[in-house]
Amino acid sequence: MNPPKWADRFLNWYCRKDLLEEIQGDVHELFFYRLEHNGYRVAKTRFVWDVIRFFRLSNMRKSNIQNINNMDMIRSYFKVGFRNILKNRLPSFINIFGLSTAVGCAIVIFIFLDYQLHMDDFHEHADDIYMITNNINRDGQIQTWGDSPKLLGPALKEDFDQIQNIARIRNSGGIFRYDDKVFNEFVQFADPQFLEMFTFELKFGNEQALYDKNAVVISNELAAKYFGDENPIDKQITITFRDNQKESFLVKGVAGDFPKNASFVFSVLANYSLYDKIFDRDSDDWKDFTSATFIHLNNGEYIDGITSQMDKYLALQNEAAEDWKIQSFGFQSLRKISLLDFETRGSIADGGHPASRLTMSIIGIFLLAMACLNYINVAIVSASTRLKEIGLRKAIGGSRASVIRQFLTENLILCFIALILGLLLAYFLFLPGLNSVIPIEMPFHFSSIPLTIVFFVGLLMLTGFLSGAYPAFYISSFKSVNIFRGKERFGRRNIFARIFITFQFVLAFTTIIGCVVFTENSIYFKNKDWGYDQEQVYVVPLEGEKQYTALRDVVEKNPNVVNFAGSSQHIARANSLTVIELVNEKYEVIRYDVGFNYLETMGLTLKEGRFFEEDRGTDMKESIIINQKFATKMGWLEPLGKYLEYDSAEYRVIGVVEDFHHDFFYSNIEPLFFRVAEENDYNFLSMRVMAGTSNETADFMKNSWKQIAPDFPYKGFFQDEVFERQFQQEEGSIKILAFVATLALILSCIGLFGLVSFNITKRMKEISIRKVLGANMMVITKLINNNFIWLMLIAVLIGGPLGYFMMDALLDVIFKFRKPITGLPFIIGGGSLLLTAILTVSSQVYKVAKSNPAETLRDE
Amino acid sequence: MKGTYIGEFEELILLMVGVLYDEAYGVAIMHEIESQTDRRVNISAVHSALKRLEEKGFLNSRMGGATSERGGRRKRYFTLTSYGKKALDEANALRNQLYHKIPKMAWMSGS
Repeated sequence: MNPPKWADRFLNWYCRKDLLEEIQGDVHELFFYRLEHNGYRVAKTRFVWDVIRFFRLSNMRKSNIQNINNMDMIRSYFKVGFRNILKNRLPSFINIFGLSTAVGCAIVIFIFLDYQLHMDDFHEHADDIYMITNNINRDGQIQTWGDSPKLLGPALKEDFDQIQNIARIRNSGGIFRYDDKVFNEFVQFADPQFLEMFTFELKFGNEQALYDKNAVVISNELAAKYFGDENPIDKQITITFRDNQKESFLVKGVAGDFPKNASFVFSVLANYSLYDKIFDRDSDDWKDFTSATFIHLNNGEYIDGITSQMDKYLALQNEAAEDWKIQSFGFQSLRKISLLDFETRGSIADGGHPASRLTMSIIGIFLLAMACLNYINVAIVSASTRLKEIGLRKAIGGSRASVIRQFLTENLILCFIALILGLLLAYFLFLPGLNSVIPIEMPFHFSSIPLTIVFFVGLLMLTGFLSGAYPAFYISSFKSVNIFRGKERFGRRNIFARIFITFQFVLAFTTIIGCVVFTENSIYFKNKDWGYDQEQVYVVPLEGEKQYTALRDVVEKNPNVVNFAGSSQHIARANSLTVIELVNEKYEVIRYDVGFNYLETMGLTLKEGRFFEEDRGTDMKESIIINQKFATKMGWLEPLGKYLEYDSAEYRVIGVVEDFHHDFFYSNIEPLFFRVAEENDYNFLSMRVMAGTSNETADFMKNSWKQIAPDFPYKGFFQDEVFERQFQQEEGSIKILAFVATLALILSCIGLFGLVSFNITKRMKEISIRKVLGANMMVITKLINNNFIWLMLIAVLIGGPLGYFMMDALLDVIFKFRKPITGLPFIIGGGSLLLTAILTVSSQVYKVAKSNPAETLRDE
Repeated sequence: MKGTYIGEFEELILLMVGVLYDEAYGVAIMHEIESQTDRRVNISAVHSALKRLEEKGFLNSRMGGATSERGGRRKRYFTLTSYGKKALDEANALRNQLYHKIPKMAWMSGS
């Protein structure tokens, strides 16, 4: 029977050599004493306990702290480092300010990426939930769609035991009314299991609420809008759906505030089975698609097994829908749907584009790199005043490694301060700033604590090491003999510092170019010919039947209205993707169903042929007007009189209009055609008003609406404002770019400022002698400026082409229509660069020029 | 006074070192305390008290010879210094002096 080996070994490990013998002797003696009296178990545990109790500082080996002198050395590092910070206030400020701004930006960008990459994480079963997608072949291109046949979900549930639950969602809209509050709301029909599957916290009601067919579950926001402080539960509300069908519901549930990182939420949920009834759909139809189907598996890994067995359903669907044949089904994990949103058409999830994530990451790395380069730059020059200290340290026995350690520790402390400041900047300034220019609101939040710790420690180490390593290794390489003899006078040419500064100005220049290019583009879009006359057109979206006729009667009598027309789709607002057939070849094109006079009202330009004419009976049934792009795509040189087949009917082309922008400049002009619509199908009333009477007419329409359709919300708008949201988005990106450009410029100027001030300090004697010999201010200014003007010129020469190619590529990705890059951004960028640089340098030079040469020269 | 101040536990240890005279080492002191006062102490507490007392100059120590006990590990024996003896005397005297100053009345009212 012996004491536990591991405890004994532990004692051996930590205990001081000179105490080990007596301590170990005592505990062993005690062990055997207890073994005799109390038995092995007691002896063993008491032994371990004793060993642990001996584990105290006074008994521990000191071998890991080499010798006591080291502590004093470290204290001296801190003291000297701190004094040095205070002594060189300006460079220290430059360092900390520059680093903390960059770190602040990096933190915000990290939050942004973290937010986007961890959407929907709050759902408890996120790993086990998948959304069904389908792939379609259109003109040889595979498109992924987020919707799915409505019968697929239930069929899968029936056939696979691995599927615990399915939930379908069908987007719709309706007019929600409670008391006198009437608004259009986004209404979704969902299988009752929806609330059980997803982790949307309910404030009132329970997860079974939707099993009740008369129930709706609403969002907290909606509850506040309609019910204020009242408890909405069991309140009766009505929703009027598209065909004027009015249904009563009871509010049976209210969701709590949705997590900010939810990629899809709801405002009104109703039982799924109602949809087919209300909209009169065949409940057994494989052609009918629902907006999204989610399946909840017992275990997410079963998904491969299911994916391989989808052929059976594919056949069912293909048989039912000849013109919309699905090639294959796919499954997107709930964790991925927001990431894949950009390439999934009609997905119910929102998500950022990978390009924006990439851009943000690049900006973050750029800024950090700049701040670090700045730091290196200033640190090297500022260390020139510390040469004696380094020499002394080495002379009294400091090794090169210890000098390196000293500089790196000093640096880490500085970076730590910068990190704290950066965190404050991010929290109070940058994140609120970013939130104000993007449509989403990101909370100051990190998805996982380990990741956050890794990020911050990594950031500290990275900045600390990147910025500190070079100066530390460089400076520590000097020999102390040379330092004391005055031979080692480094930094005379400091070629590295110059390269760094130049590099920074290149970055600043590039971002300024980007900023100007984007601004220019936005202005260009505002003034660009939309292809039709969007001014003086007022549009009223209709909400129900008979509204058109009623409004028409009013409009007809208004002398301010020059021309008007109804339409079921509307340019820039709504269009229908349509598959047409032409000599057995299928094409996807855009369709607008419009009333007579619509094309004239919108001011489209006729290229050849004619517009629709009301008195020709044939126009109603078999005529279409196409755009130029349509003709080009089909290869028609003489499009008039050509036939095409759509929805099993033949149509003849009677006119061609010039291409116009039916959607924002992000998208191409697609082939499209107009067809005459029935009055019953009108969803929009467009009117061209006389110049100067726009507001008057808008007010008139609003008042008429109140009399004609008091139950419906009014949503009239001017046609030239349809792209307001996109323009705002553009403005947002310009603001971000402007911020980055300003930051880059400030950072590089700070770097330049530091460099120049040190340069001048070094050349103080030279300048003073020149002054004594008669140099005037001009000569001195030139002398100093010359050096740096050259740097600017190089920066401009490198940054110019770089900026051009980068922006050109970026714009090509984002916009389908854009202005070619002109010389203006380069002139503005170069000008502002030179101006700020000259100002920075001159402010320093001015101080020198004003100084009295006797002051500097008298100590020799 | 500051230098001669000793705590209650330290005084106990000093006394035990005195009692054990030539046989005072860690485990023996611990056992002595346990058997005489019926209070349980941990060996590490004894060790650190001994070390403190030695630093203050109340105790001397020497390493004993190697024996076959405890795997041949030597024991550290402690003896009182004259300074330590004096400190014990003083503490004792102070206690007695104060004890005798307690008025008889205190015993009466206490019962």
